[in-house]
Amino acid sequence: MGVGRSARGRGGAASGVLLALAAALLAAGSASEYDYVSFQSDIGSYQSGRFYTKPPQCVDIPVDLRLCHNVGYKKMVLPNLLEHETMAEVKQQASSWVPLLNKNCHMGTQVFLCSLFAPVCLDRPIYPCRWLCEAVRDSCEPVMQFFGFYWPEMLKCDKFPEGDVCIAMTPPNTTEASKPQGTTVCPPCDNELKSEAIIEHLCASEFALRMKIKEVKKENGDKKIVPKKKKPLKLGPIKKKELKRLVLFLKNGADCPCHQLDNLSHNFLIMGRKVKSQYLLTAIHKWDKKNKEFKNFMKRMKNHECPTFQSVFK
Amino acid sequence: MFLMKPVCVLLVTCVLHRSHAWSVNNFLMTGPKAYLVYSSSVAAGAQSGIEECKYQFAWDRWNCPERALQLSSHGGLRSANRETAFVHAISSAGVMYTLTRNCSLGDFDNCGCDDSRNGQLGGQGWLWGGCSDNVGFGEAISKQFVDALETGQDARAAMNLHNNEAGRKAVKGTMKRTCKCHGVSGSCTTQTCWLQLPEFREVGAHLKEKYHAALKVDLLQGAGNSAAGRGAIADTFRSISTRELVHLEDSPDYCLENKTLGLLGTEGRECLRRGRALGRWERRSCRRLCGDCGLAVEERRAETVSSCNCKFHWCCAVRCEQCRRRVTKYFCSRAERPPRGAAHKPGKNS
Repeated sequence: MGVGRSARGRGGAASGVLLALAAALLAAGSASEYDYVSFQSDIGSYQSGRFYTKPPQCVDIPVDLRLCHNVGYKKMVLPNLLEHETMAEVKQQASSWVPLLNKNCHMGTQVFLCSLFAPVCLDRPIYPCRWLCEAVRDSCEPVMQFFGFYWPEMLKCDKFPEGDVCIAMTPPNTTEASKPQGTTVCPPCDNELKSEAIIEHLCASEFALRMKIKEVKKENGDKKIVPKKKKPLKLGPIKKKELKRLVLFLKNGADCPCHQLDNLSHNFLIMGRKVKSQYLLTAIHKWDKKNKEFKNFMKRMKNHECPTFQSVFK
Repeated sequence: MFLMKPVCVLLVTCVLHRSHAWSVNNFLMTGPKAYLVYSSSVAAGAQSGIEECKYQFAWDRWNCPERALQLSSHGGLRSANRETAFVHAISSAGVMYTLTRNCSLGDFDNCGCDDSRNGQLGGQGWLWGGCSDNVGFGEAISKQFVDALETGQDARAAMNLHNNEAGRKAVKGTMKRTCKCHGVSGSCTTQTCWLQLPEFREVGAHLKEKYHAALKVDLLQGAGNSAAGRGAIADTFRSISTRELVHLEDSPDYCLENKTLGLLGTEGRECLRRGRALGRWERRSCRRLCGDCGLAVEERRAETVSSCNCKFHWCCAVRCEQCRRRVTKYFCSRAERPPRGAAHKPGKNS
């Protein structure tokens, strides 16, 4: 017989530089003092998914759970409310949401996501408010669609409570401080040049290339990017014979500004994913060896291992 | 009501033998030394079976009383009725369930998840993976422990072995496939599925239905210690599916107190009326426990205090008010009421 089940996974490397708090969260007072409430395990209330898994535990939110480590409380329940049973699984599944968080599409994005990925320790499970889910979804799904994603089944808003016992940071009537519409940048081009963020994005993307760009033109509402020279850093779904004729698309990006593409004489770091038969660009950076953060990224990339679901799940 | 389906075998005599005392402790004593590692799981499993029995029969005349089980294990002749059948099945199921679950939790060194199908394509868009509950392991160990208690060769032992097997089949029959979406950003482009035990309540509910449909086996006089008699017993039980519960005797009248059998009767029992969340069986419990037993229903008022108007405050606390509420409870009591008609049949609606 096999050995008893044990969780094996590779978490991200510990970060030396914490992400700065999002401006919106600061404005909302998320930095307020942590008010710890003792955790009492009510097994019945927390039963979900594999209901007889080991009893729920109140554990520290690790620094390398990038999505939630600065959410405003320091401990979380494991298994979480998305039925992730181990911290490795939580990290792996949460990592693909970090790039969305960095888009600042809604001030409540982190509170909403972390109420499920890293639920606060209380004597019963508390779900996010339905109105918060709807607000985040309505603001963020348009951004997600630039990357070929839609609002997932597991975050469907009608499963969340409408009453008072639900997670939300601000009262429902607060006017949302959203970004001004006029200066909208293409989301894949709107990236923070920080090694930590680039690593997160690399893990969340299916492929990554170093390449030069021959030309950029519009096609069916997208920006079509024709590469010149390409060197794969992470092939993912790209087959080697496809690499020659590879063409990338900036989804819905025909008319939004992308300052990285203003000057095509550089090398670029481009990350993306495949949606049906199209290769979509999810992030673009100038390949700038002189930039301190970019140099940091190149150094870290060599020995950084992204978490994979298969290893997490075993 | 529930149709009795007797299976009659002619010219067979059933001579009752004293059955071995049945208790959790016997589970621990009968296994070979190599199985001591499973003892605590077996004990916990049998106990979970008894607790489920109490839940399933909470609003029945027979409510899985502790005394009845204890009394019959202390020298009294153990009954072979429908209720005995359920107790054996649910206890056997509880042991198997607990062993299987503890295996998945990694409690045993020599067993783990059933990964025999992992990596294989299971269906459109999903793969087998994760930790399928190793129900084969739980079944094998459970069978060794529980069936070892039946050392007799008579009809009673055959009945118990049959019902033990029915309990194990109930666990297997209620397993279900569970899946996780683990594509990027929560998409369901990739799914991994595994076979998982249900909640034990589902097993209990399944066996409760089997209890209502249990088959009565009539072995006429003539069976016994003779080789021919044992063969007839084996043939009889072999012809009945092990998904069904079987019993040899009719049930006594559970309305009445019976010290010999360790029965308390229904006088003083609580029953339920008029609740929106109540099921049909629960709503009719006052009639079943009181009215049909010749007792009146007595109302008692009480006051309870519970949390209400709870609100979540960032970050992080849930604060509630305390509300008082009047509740009415109902009990069976002896009062001026005409005696029950002779038409009442014991064993039905027990």
